[in-house]
Amino acid sequence: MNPEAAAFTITGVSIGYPGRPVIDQLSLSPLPPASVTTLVGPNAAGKSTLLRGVAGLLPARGVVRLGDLTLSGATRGAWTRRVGFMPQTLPAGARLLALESVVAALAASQPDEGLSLSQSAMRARAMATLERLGVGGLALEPLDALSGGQRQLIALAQAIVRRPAALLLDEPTSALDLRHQEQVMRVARDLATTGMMVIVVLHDLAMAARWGSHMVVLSQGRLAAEGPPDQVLTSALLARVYGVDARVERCSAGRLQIMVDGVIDHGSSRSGAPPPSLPPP
Amino acid sequence: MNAGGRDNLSGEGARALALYGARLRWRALLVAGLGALAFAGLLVDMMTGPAGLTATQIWTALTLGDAERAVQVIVWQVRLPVALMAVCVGAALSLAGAEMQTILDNPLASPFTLGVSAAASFGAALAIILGLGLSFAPAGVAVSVNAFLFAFGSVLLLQALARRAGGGQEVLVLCGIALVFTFNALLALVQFLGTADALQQFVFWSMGSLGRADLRAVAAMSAALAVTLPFSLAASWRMTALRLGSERAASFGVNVGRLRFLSLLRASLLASTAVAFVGVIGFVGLVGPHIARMLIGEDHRFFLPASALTGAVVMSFASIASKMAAPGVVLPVGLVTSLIGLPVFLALILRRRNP
Repeated sequence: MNPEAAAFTITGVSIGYPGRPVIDQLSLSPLPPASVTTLVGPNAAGKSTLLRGVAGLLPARGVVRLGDLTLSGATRGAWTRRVGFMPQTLPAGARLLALESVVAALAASQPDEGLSLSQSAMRARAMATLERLGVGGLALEPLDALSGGQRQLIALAQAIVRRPAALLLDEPTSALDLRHQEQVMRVARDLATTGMMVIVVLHDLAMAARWGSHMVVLSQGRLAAEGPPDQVLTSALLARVYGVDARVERCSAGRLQIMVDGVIDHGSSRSGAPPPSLPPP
Repeated sequence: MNAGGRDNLSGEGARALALYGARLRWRALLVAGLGALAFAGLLVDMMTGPAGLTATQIWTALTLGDAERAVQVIVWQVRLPVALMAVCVGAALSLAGAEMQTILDNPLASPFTLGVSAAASFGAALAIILGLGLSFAPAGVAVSVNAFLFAFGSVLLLQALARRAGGGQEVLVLCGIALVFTFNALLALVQFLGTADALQQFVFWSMGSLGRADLRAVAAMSAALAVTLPFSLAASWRMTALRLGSERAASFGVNVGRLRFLSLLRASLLASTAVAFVGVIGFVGLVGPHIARMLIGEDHRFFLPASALTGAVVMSFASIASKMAAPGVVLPVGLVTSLIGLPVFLALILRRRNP
């Protein structure tokens, strides 16, 4: 289901909090539909800010366009219907059943988004979304009784139940164990193969290289590099953006791995002196 | 996602939906049950009192039948207004508490945590102790008018302060605490200036009593409920979404700032009307929503009406208890609710610390 499969363009976009611009005049090459784009960069690079701005949760200047819809020209309801967003935090432990939290995600902005479904149609769609993510069995479980991984999958259902054309995920794996990380990223890729455009903020570069077909590297609110992961991830980039001395190698399964050998200390690296040790406590 | 918008469910999914439907019907039944309980409370409240009237006597007087003049007066001027006011005030305070707990994401929020009662008390003290009030307000209602104006004004001030400080529920709570202290200090100043007679009168007002209720007050209170309840119910899905987190709700398309502002406006209208007519009645706004949440969950389509009805039930039974506690004396109902509320409040805090 993606009739208006269209590229996502970000041109000259500035986003920030009052008095503190974080993203400054950022332009990206158009992000293709039906793909997973990963957004990486060091702490405070502006990854989450960019995602929130594009989701319409922070004021953004510049052009953000999805197909024929622009962020500045669309109503909140129309934009959030096309662009799903999943925040980094897990949904709060409200006294709600998993199913009704997904219904609430669908019903919250009715009817002003121009999508009017009956109560029973909303319930059926919420249930179908849970089944699609393989968590139909949790439908009648209380939200606050679920594990972190299960809650993240319910949150994913909340984000896609409106059937957005683009899905923005802010560090969806940060609170999860290995198995649930794998599960969530697999779901994200499956959504992309059915036509959704998925943009994921990730901390783990190897994971980003594995799951994304396109990688965007941010540094201090600006674009540092973009392109296919195996072209973007180089020792030079890691040194420049992260300030680490690192090697990028392929493991036996052919996946990119990053081996960090040390921290580059810009002040003293030229003289070859060891990095200053921590002062005694 | 399947293209036609049809949702094909597995057998298990269809079964889960059927079970969920049954749960929704059960909740509707619970809400109806609470309504019936509130009605029962209303009737018992009317039959309770020092005059020892029988149910038949009350029924005859209510239906304008052939009742004694004294019975007519007791029923129409005392019993009925007090019983109706208990139900209305309980519903108003509890609904206000439910909305505030949701929008402030704080289970200990109630209409009085943010300075509404402190402001109302200050307004009432101005009228009772210093005789200051609006000149056009009739003498009999000057205290109520003052209490209402200050309570409502305090919430507007609170919103303005919080907005200047950058919004968010934490800022709102902190500004509310600042208001509580400010109004309490001003109140102490007024009390310092007052005469002993006026002080005694004020202390009695501040205890919270249904005894001053008349049918005009009941009409005003139910009008405030009638004006706010439809808007509360219309916002119920958005408030349910807000329980998942404000950023998440915003990503579903909810205008969170506007939702907070309007909800706080409704809560303050309800709370300040209640305070204006019956004084400070603690804990109903805190306890009502908690009982409703335990019974019914936080789907606000059910949670909001259930909170209102739970508050009505609690208040109605507190009114009955206030008449039965000591023979021949009607305790201020605010004391009764506080004494019931205190253990509940402690239990909530303890449960919160040891989940």
